Amino acid sequence: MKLSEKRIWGREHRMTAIATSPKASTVKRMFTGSGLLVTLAVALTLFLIPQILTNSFPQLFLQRLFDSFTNGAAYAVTAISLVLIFKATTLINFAQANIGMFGAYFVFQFVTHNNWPVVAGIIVAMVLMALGSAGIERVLVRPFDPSDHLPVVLITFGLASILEAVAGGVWGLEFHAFQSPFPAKPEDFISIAGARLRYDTIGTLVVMFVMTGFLFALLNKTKVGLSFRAVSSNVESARLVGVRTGRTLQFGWALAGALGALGAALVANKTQLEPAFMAKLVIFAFAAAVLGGLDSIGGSVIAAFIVAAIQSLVTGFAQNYAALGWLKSNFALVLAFVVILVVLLVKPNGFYGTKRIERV
Amino acid sequence: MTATTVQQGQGGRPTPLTFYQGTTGHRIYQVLGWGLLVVPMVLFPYVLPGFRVSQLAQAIGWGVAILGMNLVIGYSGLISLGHIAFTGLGAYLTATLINESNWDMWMTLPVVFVACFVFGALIGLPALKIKGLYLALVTLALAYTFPILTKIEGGGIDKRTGGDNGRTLSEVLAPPGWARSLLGINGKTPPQQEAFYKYVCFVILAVACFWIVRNLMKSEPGRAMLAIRDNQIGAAVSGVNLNRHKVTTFAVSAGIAGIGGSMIAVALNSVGPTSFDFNYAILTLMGLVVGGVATQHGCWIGGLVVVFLQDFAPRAVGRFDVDVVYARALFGVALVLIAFFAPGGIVSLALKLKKKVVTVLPAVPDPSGGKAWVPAGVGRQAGATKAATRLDTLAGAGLAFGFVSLLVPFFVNPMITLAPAAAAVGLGVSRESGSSPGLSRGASVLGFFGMVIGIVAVLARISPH
Repeated sequence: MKLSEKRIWGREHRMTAIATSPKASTVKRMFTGSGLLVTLAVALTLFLIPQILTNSFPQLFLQRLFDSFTNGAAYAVTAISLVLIFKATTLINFAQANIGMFGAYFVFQFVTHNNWPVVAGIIVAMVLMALGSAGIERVLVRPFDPSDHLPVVLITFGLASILEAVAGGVWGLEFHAFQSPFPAKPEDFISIAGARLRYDTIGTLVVMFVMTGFLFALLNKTKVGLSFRAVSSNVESARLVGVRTGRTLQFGWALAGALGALGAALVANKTQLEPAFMAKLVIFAFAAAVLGGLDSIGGSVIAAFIVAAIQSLVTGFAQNYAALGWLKSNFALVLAFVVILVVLLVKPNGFYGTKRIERV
Repeated sequence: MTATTVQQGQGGRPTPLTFYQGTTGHRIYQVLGWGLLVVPMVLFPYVLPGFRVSQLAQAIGWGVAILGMNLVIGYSGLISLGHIAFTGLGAYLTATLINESNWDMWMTLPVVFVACFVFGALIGLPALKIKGLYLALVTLALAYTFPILTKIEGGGIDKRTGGDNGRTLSEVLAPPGWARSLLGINGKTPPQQEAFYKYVCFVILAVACFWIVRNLMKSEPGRAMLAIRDNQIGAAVSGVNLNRHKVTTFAVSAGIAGIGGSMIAVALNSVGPTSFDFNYAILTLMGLVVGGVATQHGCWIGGLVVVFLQDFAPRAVGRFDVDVVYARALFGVALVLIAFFAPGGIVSLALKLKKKVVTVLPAVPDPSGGKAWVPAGVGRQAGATKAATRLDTLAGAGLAFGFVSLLVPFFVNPMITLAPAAAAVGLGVSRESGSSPGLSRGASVLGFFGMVIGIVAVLARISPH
């Protein structure tokens, strides 16, 4: 009798606590849930007003937006590959960018030296990088306890150095032109309000979205996807119900490797190929993954396009004004840093990330 | 209790060498151990050519930077990849103050420490909210960002930092006359003398920083740090203030990394964005793990790794007729191998080896029943409470004096002579006072800094160049 009373009282107490909790302050609401999106939208609009007032408004604005799509797609694919590994193991693969870079060099090798068609080259490189990543997981990552972060940081950074040095040694440190899988002649574009939406941009976007759709189907409709979700939800429980956790994690790494190669191949035509070309972009992919929530695939895709758009608009906008001359293109990196820092401070789980509860 | 039972009491197997604390044998062993470190340290600058001595000075600077990193990565278990930014900030601050305001290097050190401390606290605040690898992400982005920030055009930033090209320091750290004769280097060429003097100054500074960190780790904040690393929730339950300790640790480590940066700037006689870019973030991380994470002496090996690996790796690769590009792969292979085979680095490997050879056992009580054997420290506690209160007041005065002595070199010359005395009071008293470790540690840290800076400032002023 007493026990139940206590329990009921406890429950009521909790409910009243929720009911009477003071409403979150305006400042706090600005940074939580949909409030964050509204705040971002308002900030973006304020930022856009001076651009709208210029003569070249719709054309230049749209052009910059279109230009950001290729980067956005590359960030999105790289961010997804980071998320796939983080979701399952709460590890961050700092070598992800260089695994992608290596894949792009394979494509380059197949296309330039063996005269393969680009699409075939990309598919074979994706398979190779998937196998390579699975091997890396088995040999270098699985021996370590995932809750101890330092060894994995060392291993992945070491791997990044090795891959970069080997790529530089085999293919040289110079820039290589990279053939796009899509029509990329100067006249291949659709004109929208004077802005050029290029065919290869459209192709990149289509590939990216097909890839994301395929990934969703794989994770949500297949048995291997089910076990992947089980492992990322709770490794111990998954193991107890008979999921082979090691293999499932390896599968996640393989998927990430393939996606990394794809992302690098998509963007290599624009940036040209050199050993550090993905390492320069990966910080934006990190920013996107953090902004979307490090364990949400859909969230990181959306965030990748937001990051790319902001990057393109801010640096483009700065070119119009002499007073903002210091906002050069490499200043976008600072922007990425600010995004990561602010998001982690005000909303540590990103837009769409799962809230994690720590238990003793 | 006989000697044999004691010998078997520790770990079972007896080792070839066994020492009892307090015996002559133990003394000799200790002196020999330190001698192994000190004798080469003294001999190196006399024996090695000038550019190697200059490299050693750089290595000491990087060692101090790594010492700062070790506080965060090793002792608090927070993974920070962005300490290169604090090191860079320290270097740029020193360079700017020397070039623009005509300060000398010693005067910039307190400013660098405070500035990096504050900057570190600002960056470290997220460490409250951000756990594990999220912090690695933030600090990684910081490491990428720092070289770009130095290149911002406008606001006078690129004029002070020199943008892409960096800047050369307008004043070199040249030995004054008394130092030349004291060290016996009058016969050397000026660049050699300079390298030699830098090396000596940096050894002194580095030992000071090392001593501060060692004391910090032995005191309450240090123990709290270790508790947080080993079990965060457990530490919080036991009354450790997680937020305060994490931010303070991060800030102190940033300050020490900044001091390391000043030393690097002076050692190189220049600063530039490429000396503090992402490659160096990886190199310092590597130096840290090769030397030994969470070990006291690992950072010195780390400093050597940062400087000499870049020097030797391309040559080693070249000897086997392989493209120099692959030198970078060696770094990667080293990182992977360390993670697998020597997670504690060289120092913990050496300690493991030492344990197989040498055992040090506590002193054996005198069986004849002469003077009673008392464990160290027990006698001091009895009846010391009353004295401790008085000593605390003294420590407070020492703290104040130590702090003032930090500022003195900027204003009044005769006052400088007071600084070492005041600092010594603060330092000496604080070591005895037990009831308020925070205060006495503060006094000892500030007092020691004041003492070092005060002495050097006095010597620099009273002697002609």
